[in-house]
Amino acid sequence: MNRWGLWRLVTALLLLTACQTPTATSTGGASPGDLEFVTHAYQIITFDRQEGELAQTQAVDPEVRALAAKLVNEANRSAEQLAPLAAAAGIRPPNILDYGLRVRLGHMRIQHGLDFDQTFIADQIASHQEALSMHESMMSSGGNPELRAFAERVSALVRENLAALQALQRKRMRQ
Amino acid sequence: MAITAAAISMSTVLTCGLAGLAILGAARARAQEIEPAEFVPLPAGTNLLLNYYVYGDETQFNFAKGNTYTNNTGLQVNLGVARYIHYLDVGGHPAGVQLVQIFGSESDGRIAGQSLGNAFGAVNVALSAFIWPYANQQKSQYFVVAGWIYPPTGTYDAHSPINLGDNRLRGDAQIGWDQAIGTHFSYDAGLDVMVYGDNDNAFPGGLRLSQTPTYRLQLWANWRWTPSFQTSIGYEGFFGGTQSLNGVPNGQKTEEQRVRAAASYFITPALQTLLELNHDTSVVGGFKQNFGATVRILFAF
Repeated sequence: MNRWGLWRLVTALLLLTACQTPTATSTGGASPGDLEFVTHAYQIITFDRQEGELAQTQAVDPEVRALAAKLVNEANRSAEQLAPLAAAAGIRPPNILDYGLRVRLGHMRIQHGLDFDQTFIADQIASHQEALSMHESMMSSGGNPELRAFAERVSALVRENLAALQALQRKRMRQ
Repeated sequence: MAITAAAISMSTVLTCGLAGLAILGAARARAQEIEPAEFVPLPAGTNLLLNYYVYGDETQFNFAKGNTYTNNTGLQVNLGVARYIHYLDVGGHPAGVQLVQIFGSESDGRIAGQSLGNAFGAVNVALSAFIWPYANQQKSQYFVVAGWIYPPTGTYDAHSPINLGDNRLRGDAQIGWDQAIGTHFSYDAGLDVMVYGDNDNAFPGGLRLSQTPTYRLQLWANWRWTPSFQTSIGYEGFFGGTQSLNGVPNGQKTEEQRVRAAASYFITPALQTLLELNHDTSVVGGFKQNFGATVRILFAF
């Protein structure tokens, strides 16, 4: 490879790297509050899907596996509902996870399932608490009406799942 | 300058042999050498900064099809490695790019009392791109393909028998596999082939050094005791890599068998330390490392 070939390769890889962003971007007139909501919603949905899929083979407890399958289904449905709302609001969702979630997910892969159930429940309780706080903030802030309606719809489901996760955690601690 | 096999006396064997030592020395910390779990892809956007200290105590020298020198023979290797990795998503496949810079010294080099001198500076920078054509998180199975290129940026002095840089372009193609079996055991296997351009200004100046490809097999068997702590045993074998000076084999090649043991510990989810100890069980055509150690600190951001 000559010197110019090498530079072209490096430039292409740098461009590819520059296209990655963990935050939503506006394609036309979205408010900062709406951008923040879509950023967090995307982050939590993507993390729940990826961690939940790992649970299908790495979780030991059948109850954890069943709850993970339910969470993945709901995260998939939320992603399907959010994508057109974000596009209509002029928002391009992020395409990578933020730092904290990347580290957590990377750890799950490296651990190859060791202590998976305990870590999964703790992770999901944290992400559901974060999601709940995000939805409540969106509902009270009064941003894009469609996004606010989405937050209202999903928050009830998040509360229900959070209660199920906490109950499962308590049950496992008693055992 | 023509060198014929018939004209090679004991002293010229040593002299010619010295010409390739820079390559063998740098081989101690080649960029595509893997540590356990390196073939597991991390989420797109993840950056890793890895810093290594590499020590090698080399106590024997063997000329291929020739003598093995043990008395008054050795080389001390002290290297630092700075490595940056960035993970991407390319068409739905995990991928990444990385840059590795090795620097440091090879000192107190000698063969049968003949001094090789010392070398300080940088090894050729290594640039790499890699992709996982198959990555199954659910089954913890990962297959990676990597390409490496080493432009001749390393410190090089044609009048020194020992160098860290090697004044030639090198390339390497690598495939790797990682699989977990159960929750505690996993293994890594890597195979790579390195091809070499010619060094047209080899020691003692003006000679043309060429080398056949080097093939390398690496294996790690890993046991994860806790989510943070893992121990591993491994093997690394080099094959091929016969060197010639102006078309005449100079007695050096890359045939080496090494056993390795490693332990790694996550201090925090983003900070990991690793210690590797290794020993060469046999070497043909180069220095044998009696004892080697690597300390690595990994930081994810």
